[in-house]
Amino acid sequence: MKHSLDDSKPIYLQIKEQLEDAIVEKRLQTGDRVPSTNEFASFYKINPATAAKGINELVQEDILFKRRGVGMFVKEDARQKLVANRKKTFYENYILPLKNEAEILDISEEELFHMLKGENL
Amino acid sequence: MERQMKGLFYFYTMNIKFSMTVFWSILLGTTIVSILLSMMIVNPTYSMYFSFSIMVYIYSAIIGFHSVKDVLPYAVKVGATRKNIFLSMGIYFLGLALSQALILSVTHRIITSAIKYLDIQTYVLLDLASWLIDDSWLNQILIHTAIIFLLMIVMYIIGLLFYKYGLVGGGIVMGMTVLFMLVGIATGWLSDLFNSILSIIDRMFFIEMIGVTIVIYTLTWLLVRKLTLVR
Amino acid sequence: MRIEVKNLTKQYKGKRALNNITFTLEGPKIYGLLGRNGAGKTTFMDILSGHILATSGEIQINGENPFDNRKLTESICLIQEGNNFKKELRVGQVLRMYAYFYPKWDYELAEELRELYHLKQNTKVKHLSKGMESALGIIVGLASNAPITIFDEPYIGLDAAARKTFYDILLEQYEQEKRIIIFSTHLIDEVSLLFEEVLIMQDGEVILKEETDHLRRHACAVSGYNKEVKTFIADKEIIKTRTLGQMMTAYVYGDSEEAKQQGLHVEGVPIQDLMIYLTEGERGA
Repeated sequence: MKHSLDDSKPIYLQIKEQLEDAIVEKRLQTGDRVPSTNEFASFYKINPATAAKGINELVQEDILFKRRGVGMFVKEDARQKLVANRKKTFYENYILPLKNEAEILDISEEELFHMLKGENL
Repeated sequence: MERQMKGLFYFYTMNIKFSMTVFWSILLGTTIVSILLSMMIVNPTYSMYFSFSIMVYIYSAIIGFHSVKDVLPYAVKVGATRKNIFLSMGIYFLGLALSQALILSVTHRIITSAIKYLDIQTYVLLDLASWLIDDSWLNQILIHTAIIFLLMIVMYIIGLLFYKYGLVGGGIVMGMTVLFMLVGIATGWLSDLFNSILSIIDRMFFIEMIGVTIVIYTLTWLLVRKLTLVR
Repeated sequence: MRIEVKNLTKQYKGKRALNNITFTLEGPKIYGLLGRNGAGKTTFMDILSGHILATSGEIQINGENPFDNRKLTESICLIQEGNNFKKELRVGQVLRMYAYFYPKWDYELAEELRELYHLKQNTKVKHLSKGMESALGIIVGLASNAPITIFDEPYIGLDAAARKTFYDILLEQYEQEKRIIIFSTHLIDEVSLLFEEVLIMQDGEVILKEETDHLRRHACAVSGYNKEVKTFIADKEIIKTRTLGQMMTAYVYGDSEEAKQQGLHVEGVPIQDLMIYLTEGERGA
């Protein structure tokens, strides 16, 4: 959890990503209650409608579900879904920048491979 | 009473309280000092004249003029309707005139009897009311109310003209009034009018005067109907 | 509540404060009304509150004109930078007076906030410090519970901690009583997270009206070599460009993914910066 949000990125996305991280990292597990819109709003001093938007997208994506009058909870299989999604973007988000930077620094593919294996050069 | 009117009267009362207190304290203070001074006059052929009512008249005229800037913008800001502003200001001025008249005649009575009791020969408290007609309580209050009310309303209207049309607009109206009076004096009909008024003066005259002032006041609706903040 | 602004124009002697603006606000929502001094924000808020009249065009709130319309003036509370209250009144008297004019007035909240901001009932407005006078405005605005509450730079003289308290309470009250809140301020970075939508005004016109999250997503700063950046922004709406040697940064509305794929460096633009870039004059350009 972050103590403040970044004003240059969509707020609802940051709320959404935080919840996703918490689920992937198992800090939130199946059946756990997630903070409410108002709790998010007053913690980060953000517009409740914006916080709601982030949470609602997770409901639509079947990650959270709503129990009337009680709150939002983590759905079964939520983590598997998120992990599967993240694997798809892993290459783009981590490998590609890694290769780009390696290229700039003239690190050969072989060297890179050794680094990945944790071997010191 | 209607909620918004209540709010307006509450505002007017709280707003004028301080100014009234200061005015009357100064007036009473100077009166007492002047009485004490008059007691030191040794030669009984000289005496001191002091007019209480004139001070109140001047103060009331200032209040009438000042009310425009002092009260109206805040009534608009708090969301009062123009109709309620119009009604409440009229009632406020009449009420203020009546209370000023009451305080005036009561203090006047007290001071006069104090002077009589202390047998001070050298101090004369002038009063328009006792000079015009017999100075019964009722007459005194009536006369003061009528005069104060008229002064307030006339000055309020002038204030409104300045507020609405700026220095130029207010100046033109003032200039025309002065011109009108000069012509009146030059042709002599103004003094004729004044004389004929003096000859017919009685209690009824002042009651009518209040009525005429109310009619004049209704004219302010034209200026208040579209009242806005001046920026 | 629905505020429709149609071809609104306000002409002062020699100056056009509002130039034929048209837009609609719909609540409940917290709006940020931004722009530099003299952009026409205050004039707009004055007309909206029925304090002044437009030269032409109109504002309709739920289909009615707000001027001298009691049903609407009771629903609109405008708190400005200063001079909101009669200087001779006392704090308690101001609160009591406003309670008469706002049917949904929250007495308890007013009392609670008065104590929170350490205002004494008996202090005259003219003896309050700038910050305390601002606090009184904030109390009135929040306690009015007006369906349209407008704050125009309401916190001159309040320190950072007191402002933070204000944002906390504003949000708390908004959650309890959803309404239209229009917030005009220069301290954008402090409050931009509260806004659901922003309007940016300049020279009497509304140059931007957009959801804040939409702006955060689409407004981006793209940096790279002159040539590459120029190719990328050729078909985009450009807000501003800056160059440093052979490098160039362009602030544009565009897709950040697309820029990334072209090997450009992409960053988001905070609302505050966006406002500045949009409204700064072309200084010697």
